[in-house]
Amino acid sequence: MNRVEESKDQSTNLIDRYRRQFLGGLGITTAAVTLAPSVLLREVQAKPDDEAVTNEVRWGMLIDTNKLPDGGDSMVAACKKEHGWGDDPNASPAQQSQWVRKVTFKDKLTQHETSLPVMCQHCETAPCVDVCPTGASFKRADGIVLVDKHICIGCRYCMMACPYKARSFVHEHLENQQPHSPRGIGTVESCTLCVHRIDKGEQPTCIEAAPPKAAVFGDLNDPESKISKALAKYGAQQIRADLGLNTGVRYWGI
Amino acid sequence: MPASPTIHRFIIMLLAAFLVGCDSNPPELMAATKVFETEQQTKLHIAEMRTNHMHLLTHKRDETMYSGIRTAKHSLNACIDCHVPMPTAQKVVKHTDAEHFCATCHIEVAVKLDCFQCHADRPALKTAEVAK
Repeated sequence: MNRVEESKDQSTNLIDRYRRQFLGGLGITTAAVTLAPSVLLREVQAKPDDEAVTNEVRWGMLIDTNKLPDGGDSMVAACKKEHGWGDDPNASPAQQSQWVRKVTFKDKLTQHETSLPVMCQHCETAPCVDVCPTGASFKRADGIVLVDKHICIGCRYCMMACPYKARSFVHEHLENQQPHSPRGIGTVESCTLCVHRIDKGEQPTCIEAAPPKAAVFGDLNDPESKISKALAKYGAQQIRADLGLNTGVRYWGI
Repeated sequence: MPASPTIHRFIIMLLAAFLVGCDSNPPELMAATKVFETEQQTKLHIAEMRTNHMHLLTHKRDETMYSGIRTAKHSLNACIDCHVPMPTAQKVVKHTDAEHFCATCHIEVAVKLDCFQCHADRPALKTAEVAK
């Protein structure tokens, strides 16, 4: 009985703390808008640590390829550093994991070259989730597509199903992994949208590493979020929109 | 043909005799970096973890994976941060060393430990610095 009351007290305290943080956050956001909209505007509200994610939010990002002078190299480098992929000691270059890759294409008529970072597009109807035989590939309530490596058997079916070539397989025993980003032999991995950062109320690391105004991260379900407003006003492209996957990652300038 | 009850009883007695001879004292483990406020808390923690750590970790694992619940309680990273010493230039304790907190018992009882194929087996320098 005591324990029940105690946990109830605790949860109300947490809710109060959350409310205070939320209101505090609102104040900061309003102040930030007037100061420097592109740098300080925070789209992500931290949820309390002990609360489950819900489908009220759907995380997504919008990347403006015209504002990426390096074609997304800085974003790729930041991802490598955050998650520690790309330098597996015994993997051949073709085997190295690639959570984000820089893709360049040229318009034959105009000779205009465009580069864009391509990572897991966090589809609403993800083919990788459809084909997974164990349920390891799944979509979290807030729209982030992940691999549960605890039950992944490494069959690589999802890698074949993904039209974006977004997933990689780890072939070797690894050491020195990042505590927030476990990765290991025999499992498939891909962009997690920096889920460990989102749960803390931070932005994905590639968004922070991108040049100013080149990339926006936010809640696609909230019509008032910066990303939703931009999408509503200007629209944006999906890669392989013909597949009808309703991707969470959208681009300008492709 | 089913075995007679006498034989059953004999087998059970034989097994019991073996069990009495077993030594249930765990091997000496490396000390944790943090200490509980009271000794009672420490004792409770040890008793609970000795029997249940695998269940608690599995439960927490699914909560974190599927629901994004990232409290420190029963989180593998929190265990590691407290029970495994921070790596230094002189010494890095890895899960393959017998003195590693998890390895000591798992080697003793010959239970294979898969966690560290993917998870970090020692505190990251950054986390440890923040904790200070």
